[in-house]
Amino acid sequence: MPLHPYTRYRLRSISTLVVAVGIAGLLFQIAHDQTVSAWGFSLGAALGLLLGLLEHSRLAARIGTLPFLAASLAKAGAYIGIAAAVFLTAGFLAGLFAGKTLDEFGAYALSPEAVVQVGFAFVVFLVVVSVRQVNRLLGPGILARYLSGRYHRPRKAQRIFLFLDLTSSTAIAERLGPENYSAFLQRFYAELDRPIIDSEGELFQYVGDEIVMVWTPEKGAEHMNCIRFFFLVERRIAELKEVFLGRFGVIPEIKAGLHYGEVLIAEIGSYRKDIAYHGDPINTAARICATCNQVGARFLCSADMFTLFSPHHEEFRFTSMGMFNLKGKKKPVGLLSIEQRHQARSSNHC
Amino acid sequence: MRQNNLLKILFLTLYWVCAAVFIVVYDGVVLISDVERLTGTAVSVDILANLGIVVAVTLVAGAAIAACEVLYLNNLLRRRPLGLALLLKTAFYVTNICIFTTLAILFITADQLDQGLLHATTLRLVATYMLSPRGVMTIAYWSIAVMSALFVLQVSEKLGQGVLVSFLLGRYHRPREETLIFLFMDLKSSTAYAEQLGHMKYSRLIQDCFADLTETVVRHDAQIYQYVGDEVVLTWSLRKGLANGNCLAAFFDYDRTLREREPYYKATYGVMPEFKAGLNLGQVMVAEVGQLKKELAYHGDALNTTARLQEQCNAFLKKLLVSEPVREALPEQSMFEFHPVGVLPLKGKQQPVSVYEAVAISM
Repeated sequence: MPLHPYTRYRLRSISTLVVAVGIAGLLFQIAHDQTVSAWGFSLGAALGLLLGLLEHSRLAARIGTLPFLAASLAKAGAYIGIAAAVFLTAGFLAGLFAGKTLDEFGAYALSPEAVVQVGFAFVVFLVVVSVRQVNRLLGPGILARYLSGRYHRPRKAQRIFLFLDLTSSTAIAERLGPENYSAFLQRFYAELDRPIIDSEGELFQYVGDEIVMVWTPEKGAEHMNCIRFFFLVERRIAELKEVFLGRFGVIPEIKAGLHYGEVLIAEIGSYRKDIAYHGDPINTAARICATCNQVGARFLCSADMFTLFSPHHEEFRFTSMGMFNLKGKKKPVGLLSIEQRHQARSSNHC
Repeated sequence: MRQNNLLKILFLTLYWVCAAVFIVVYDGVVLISDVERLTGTAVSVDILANLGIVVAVTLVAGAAIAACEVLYLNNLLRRRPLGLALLLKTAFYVTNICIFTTLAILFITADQLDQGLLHATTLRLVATYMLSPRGVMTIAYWSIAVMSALFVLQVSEKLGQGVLVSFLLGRYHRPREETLIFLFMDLKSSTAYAEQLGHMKYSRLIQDCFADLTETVVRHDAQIYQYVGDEVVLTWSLRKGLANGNCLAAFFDYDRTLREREPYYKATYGVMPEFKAGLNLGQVMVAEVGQLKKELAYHGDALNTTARLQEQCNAFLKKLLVSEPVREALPEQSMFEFHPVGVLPLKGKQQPVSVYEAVAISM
C-alpha cells in the first residue's frame, strides 16, 4: 500500500528531526558528562519526535505566518515550554514511583543542571527551526544539490515543465492596485503548497506572475502527477473561493502549459547561485502556456507528453487542438487541451 | 574596504564573541559546580576576568579569521562546488584552531607552572590536556562555531545580498512599495548560439557568462535578483544605483569584462557573448512569496517596462536602452551621455515612454 505523498512528506520530515535532535542529544551527553550511552540519543530522539509533531501541528501553521526571526523564536519558545512540561511531568511521575520526595524533585527542577539542559534544548530547537526556514528560502532539497556540487558541470536530463499563469493578470492588477495585487499573489502562491507536495513536483521559479514547476519524467507520469497538479490547484482555489472574494473581490483563474524534453541542469552564478534549466523544452512550455488564450483553453500540453503516458485516461480527457507554430520552434507542435472528466471522483484520488 | 565586506567581518566576529561568552559562562557555571560536587571543595573562579580575556582573544583572532575568509579565501574558492569549498575551509580553519588553541593552552600552562614554554612538564601537561575529552571538546566546539558562521554567510550570499536579512526581519512580510532601479541583461542571439553550440556547450557558456558577472556586481553594489534562462536581472536601491552612476557603469563594466575575456570565449566556444540591456527606474511592490519555496518577488509596471526596453534593443540596433526616469535621475556631469533614440509605446499606458541610448564618455 503506497503512502499518500503528503503523509510520506510528513514522515520524512519528522524522522529527519528525530535523528537530528537525537544526535544533538548524544553530543550534549559527550560534552557534558563525557560518557556515551543510549540515554543521550534516546532523550534527544524523544525531543525530536515532539518537535516534529509540533512542527506539523496547527500551532506551527499559526506561528509560521509571522516573520522569520519572530517565527523562529516563538516556535522554539513555545516548543521548549511544551517539551519542558512533558519532561517534568514524566520526571515527576518517575520520581513518584521511585519514592523520591517532592523537595528532591523541586531541587532538581531548579538546579543549574536542569537549566542548562533546557537552555541547550532551546538552542537546538532554535537552530533546527531556523535551518528548516532557510531550507525553504532555498527550496526543498536544493541545499543538498549545492553541497554535493552535482550540477557544477551541466548535466543532461529529461524533465517535465509546467508554466502556470494567472488569467487576465493585467486586468486584476489594475483593479486591485499594486499593494493589493501583491498581497493577492502572496496569498495565491501560499496555497500552492499542498498541490506541490501532493503531486510530488518541485517549484523551480517565480517569473513575474508565473510559476514554473518541474518533474522528473517518472514522478510526473506516476498518477499523472504533472496533470493532476493543475486540477489540485483549481480545487484549492475553489475551496478558498469565499476567502479570495472576501479579501480581494476576485478569484484567481489559472492557465498552464505542459511540455517535456531534454534539458541541461546547471549551477549558475558565483555570487548569487542558482540551479538553472537550459534548453528548448522550458521555452516551449512557456509558449504553450501563452497559447491558452488564443485557443480558449485553460490547460494545454504538447503531443510529446504521450511518450510518457497514454492519451486514454479515465480521469482526464485530452482534446486535440491541432498543430501550432510556436515562436522559436522550427516545426509545428501538436497541442491538446486537458480537462478533468469526473470532478467528484478525483477528490478521493490517492 | 567595501561596506558589504565590513558588515560580513563584523557579523563573523560578533558571532564568535557570542560563542566565546557562551562557553565561558557555561564552563563557569556548570563545570565548576560539577567539580565542586565531585571534589567537595569550593572552587573560586573569576568568571568576569576569564570573560574579559576570552572575549579579547576572540575579538582579535575572530577578526583575523573573518578578514582572511571574506577578503581572500571566499573569493579563491568561489567557483568551486559549495560542499568542496566548505570542506577545504573546514580543514584549513580546524588546523588553525588546533594550532591556536594549543598555543594558548601552552602559554597559560607555562605561566601557571612558572616554567619555560618548552619545559618537559609544560609540554606533557599541554599534551595531556589537548588529548583529554575536554581538549577535544574545545576544538570541536570552536570548529562548529566557525563552520556554522561561515555556512550562514554562504547561504546569505547564495540568496543574494541583503535577502536573508530582509527575511529575518520580515521586512517584506507584508508587501511594500519601493523605488528601485532595474537592469535586465539578455544574451544576444542566444537561440542561434544554442543551435550552433549544442545544449551542453551552450549551458557552459551561460555558466561562464554569469560567473564573469561577479566582479561587476561586487564593484557596482548591485543585487542579482533573478536568472531567467539566458537573462539576468540586477537591481539597486536608488541611493546605491545612482551613486557613481553604478547602474549604468555596471553594464559597461560587464561589457568590458566580457570583451577582455574574448580570447577565452573564442577559443572555448568559437563565439563572443554579448549582452543587450534595458535600464529603468520605478516603483514596484516587494513581497515575500511562497511557503515551501520562499522568495523575494518584485511586481509592477516598472519591471515590465524594463523587459520591454531590453526587448527593443534589437529594433533600435542598440546595446543598452535607458528610460526617461533614469536619465533624469542621473546627474548631468556624469561620465555618460544620453542620446534620444525614439519613443516606445507600452501596453496599458497612454503615454509612450521616451527612450535613450547611453554612451560612456570616460571609460
